[in-house]
Amino acid sequence: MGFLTVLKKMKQKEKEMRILMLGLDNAGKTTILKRFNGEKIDTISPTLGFNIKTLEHRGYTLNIWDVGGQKSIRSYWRNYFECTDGLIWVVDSADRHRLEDCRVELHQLLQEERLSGATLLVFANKLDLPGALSAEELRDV
Amino acid sequence: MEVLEGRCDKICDLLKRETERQLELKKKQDDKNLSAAENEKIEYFDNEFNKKRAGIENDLNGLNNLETKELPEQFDSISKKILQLQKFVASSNIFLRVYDIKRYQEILNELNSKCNRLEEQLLPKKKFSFKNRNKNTVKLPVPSDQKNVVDEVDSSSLSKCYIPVKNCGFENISNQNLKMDRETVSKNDVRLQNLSKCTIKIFGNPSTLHMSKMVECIVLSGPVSTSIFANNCRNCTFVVACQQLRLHSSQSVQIYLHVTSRAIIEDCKDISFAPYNLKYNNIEQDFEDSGLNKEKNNWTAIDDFNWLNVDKPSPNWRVLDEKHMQKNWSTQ
Repeated sequence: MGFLTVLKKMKQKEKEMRILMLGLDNAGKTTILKRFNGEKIDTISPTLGFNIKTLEHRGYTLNIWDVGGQKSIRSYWRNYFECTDGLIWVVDSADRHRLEDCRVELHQLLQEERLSGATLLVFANKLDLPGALSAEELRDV
Repeated sequence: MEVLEGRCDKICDLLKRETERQLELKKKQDDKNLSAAENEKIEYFDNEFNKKRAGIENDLNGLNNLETKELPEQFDSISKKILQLQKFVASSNIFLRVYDIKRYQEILNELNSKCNRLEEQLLPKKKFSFKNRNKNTVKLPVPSDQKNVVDEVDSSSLSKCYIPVKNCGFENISNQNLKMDRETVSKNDVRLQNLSKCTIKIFGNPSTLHMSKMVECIVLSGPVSTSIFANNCRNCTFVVACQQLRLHSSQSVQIYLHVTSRAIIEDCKDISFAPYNLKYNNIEQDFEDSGLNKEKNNWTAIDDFNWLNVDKPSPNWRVLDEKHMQKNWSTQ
């Protein structure tokens, strides 16, 4: 009985993913998360700290951590790296002036050893805005 | 008869003791074998680790003889090797003793720092400077993944944007009265950059508003649907409505604000807030188009990212005195 419970728990663990959502401030991380979760997005304020949401998808439990992107709290990002299965890097495609910042921050993250096992998704947000770069242009950056 | 029985008992006893002894012996033997196997594992690991470590050290020592252009590649391969070794240690920590793991980690750290030191020595990072600024072609710094460059990039990112800007807005103007009408800004990103002593009037409903490097400017704007993002502004007055406001690295800015969610400031000083009081023809219509709730204004709920103390208010911002408030804005 005890053994079976342990097995069951491990199985459950496998179906649980920890996903970290990062990016510069004003990229739209919280908005994405709330949209995914079917919540209202018109009351979102800049994230001071972080939000956690748990989503169910195809039998997987996704724990999504949405961490604020302000410059002064970027140094705390590393506290969230442990045991992360996936990293979503959100880019504001319309914010051309800070793309360089964005690139530097991402490269710095990628050097992080604790994230080496995680899968990376670069989320090109705000593509619908008139001044946005296309996904191809972003890839070159 | 009795004697016989007694003997039998004795023999049985002896036999029993004998088998017990044998078992004990076997157990001891097994134990010995087991610990030998364990020792073998540790020994094997130690050998392997030392071999790899020697390889890396050899590589590091050989760096001096290499040409500069070969160096980045070599550094790359060395750090890869160190990483592999780290993984090797991690995968073996089941049978390693705690003390050993600690020791191996220390060696690894030493290798890493040695590698970094050499890299700094042999491949000095290029410093970014504004030497050729007057030629109007600010050169890009060589993109580099090294950590120390980040600060430089942060502080200079605005001056070396290499992507042509297509947004509507104004740039590099001083001492002028600027105006944008409903058709130009509606649902568009508006960007104001490098303006000094200007008055900018934006009528209509922009999608977002970005402002940077503004000095002694007045910005009057109709309701912005989503966010306003401003940095490096000095001695300015903004009269704006939006869903969220982010103000960075600015000083002495007065903001007449309507914000439906939150406003934040970061690395700012001497920022004062007052309620939005801009009036012009059709502002009601613009509010409706923007989707902002006119009833909800959180202009006093300001989060300062440099002030996480909840008991004391942030010294970086305050509510503007009523007597200093401007009541009417010329919209001509």
